[in-house]
Amino acid sequence: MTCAITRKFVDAYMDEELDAATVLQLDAHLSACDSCRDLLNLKQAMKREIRDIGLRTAAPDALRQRIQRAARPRPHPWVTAAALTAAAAAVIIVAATATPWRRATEDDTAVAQVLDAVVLRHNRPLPMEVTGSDPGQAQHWFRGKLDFPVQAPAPGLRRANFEGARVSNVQAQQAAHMTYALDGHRVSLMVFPAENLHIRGGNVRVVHGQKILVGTRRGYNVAMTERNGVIYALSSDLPAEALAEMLAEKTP
Amino acid sequence: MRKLFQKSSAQLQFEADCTAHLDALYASALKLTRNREDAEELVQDVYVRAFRFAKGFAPGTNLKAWLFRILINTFINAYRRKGHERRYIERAAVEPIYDDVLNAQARAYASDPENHLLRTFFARDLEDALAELPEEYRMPVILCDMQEFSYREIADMLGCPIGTVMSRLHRGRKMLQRELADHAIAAGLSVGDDKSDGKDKGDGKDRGDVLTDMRSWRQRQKGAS
Repeated sequence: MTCAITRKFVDAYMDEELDAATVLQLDAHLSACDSCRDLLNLKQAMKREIRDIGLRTAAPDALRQRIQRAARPRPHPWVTAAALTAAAAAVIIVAATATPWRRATEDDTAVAQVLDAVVLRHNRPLPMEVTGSDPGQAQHWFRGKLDFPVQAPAPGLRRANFEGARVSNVQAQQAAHMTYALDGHRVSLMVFPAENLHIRGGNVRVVHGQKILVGTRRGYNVAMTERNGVIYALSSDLPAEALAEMLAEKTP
Repeated sequence: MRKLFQKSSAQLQFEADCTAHLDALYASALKLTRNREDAEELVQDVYVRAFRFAKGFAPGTNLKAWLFRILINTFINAYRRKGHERRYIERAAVEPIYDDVLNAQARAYASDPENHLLRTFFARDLEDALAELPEEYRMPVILCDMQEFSYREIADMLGCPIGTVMSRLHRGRKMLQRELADHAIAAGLSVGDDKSDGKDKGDGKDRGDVLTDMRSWRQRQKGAS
C-alpha cells in the first residue's frame, strides 16, 4: 500500500465504506506513515466539525410553527360552523362526497397556499437581480431564465415606477418577481405557471371582463388572474379593488 | 371517504415523525441555499410535499433519508441558481488540488482538538469554506458529514452511482482543505509563510491573539523537531 493509494481511499476509510480487506491494508499503512495519518486526522477533524455545525443549528420557531400548522390544517370555517349541529354535519358529510363540493375545498386550499406564498415573497423579497426603470428590459432579461413566458405586465402598472426584477419562487415553482412603487406603496407582480390553481369560486370577481381572484393575507391584498396557463398576481397594501382594476385594465 | 374533521392517528404519527427531522433538514437547507430565507422556504416546501405525498413513504424504511431525498429534489429543481454555480466549478476544474494543502491552523487543530481557541477559528473557517464549495461537491459533503448518510443513501438521493459519490466527496473535501489554506494565507497563517505583517488586522484583536498563539505553537513545533 502506497501513500498515493492510501490518499485515494482515505475518505472512504474514514466513512467506513471500504471492504474489510482494504481496511486492513490501510490500517497497516496508516500506522506506519505519519503524513498519511496527519491527513486522516485533519479529515476527521473536518468531518466532526461539519457534523457539529449541523447539530448546533436549530430551525427558527416561526418555521416550526408554520410546519406544525401545515401538519394540522384547521377545517374550513364552513366546516366548523356546520359541525355545530349534528344534522348539519350529516349534510356536510353527504355533500363532501359529491365532486363539486370536494373540488371547492381543494380549490380553497390551493388558493390559500398560493396567497400565503405570494404575500410572503412580497413581504420579504429576495434581493432584486436587475434594477432599473424600464420594465421592458426586465421582460427581456427573463427570457431563457424561466420555463414560461413573462408577458407584458399589467397595463394598469404604467402609472407605477418599475424598481427591479428577479427570478424567485412561489411555493416550489419558479416565478418572475417584479417590484413597483406607486404613490409610496410597494407593489409586487409575481408571474408563475398556474399548475393546479384555478381562478374560480367565491372570491372571484369579474373586472373588465376578466376573472380576478382577490384575497387578503397578513394585511396585504392580492389580486390574481390567469392568462394562457400563467398566473399574474399583484400584491400590495393598496386596496384589493385597486389591484384588481390594475390587473384587469386592458391595453388601450 | 375523505375525512374532513380529523386525521387518522397514523397520519398524525407520520407528521410528528417528520417534524422530528426539522432541525436536521433546516441545517442542511441552510448550507445548500446559503441564506436563511431560502432555507426556510425550502424546508417548508419539503414538509408540504412530504405531507401531501405521505403515501409515497414505505413504512419501515428510513424516514430521514426519504425526507432528505425530497429536500435534494426540491432544492435541485427549484432553488439552485444555475448561473451562479458555474464560476466555482470552473475554478475547481482548472486548478489542481494537492493533498498536502494544509494550513498550520488546521494541522494544529487536528492534532489538538481539545484546544477551544483553535477550534473556534477552525470551525469558522471551515464554515466559510463549506459555503464556497461548488454545489455538486457541497451536497455530498453535507449529506455524508453533517447528516451521516451512507454512500448508498447519498447515491439514491443524488441519482448517481456510488463511485460518483465517492469521488465527489474525495474531491470536495480536498477543496475544503484548499479553502482552509486560502483562509490561512489571507490571515497570514499558512505553513512557512511569514509575510503576515498585520495586513489583516481588520479581523480584530481576537485574531491577533490567535496569531500570536499560532506563532508560538509553530515555534514550539520547530523547537521540538
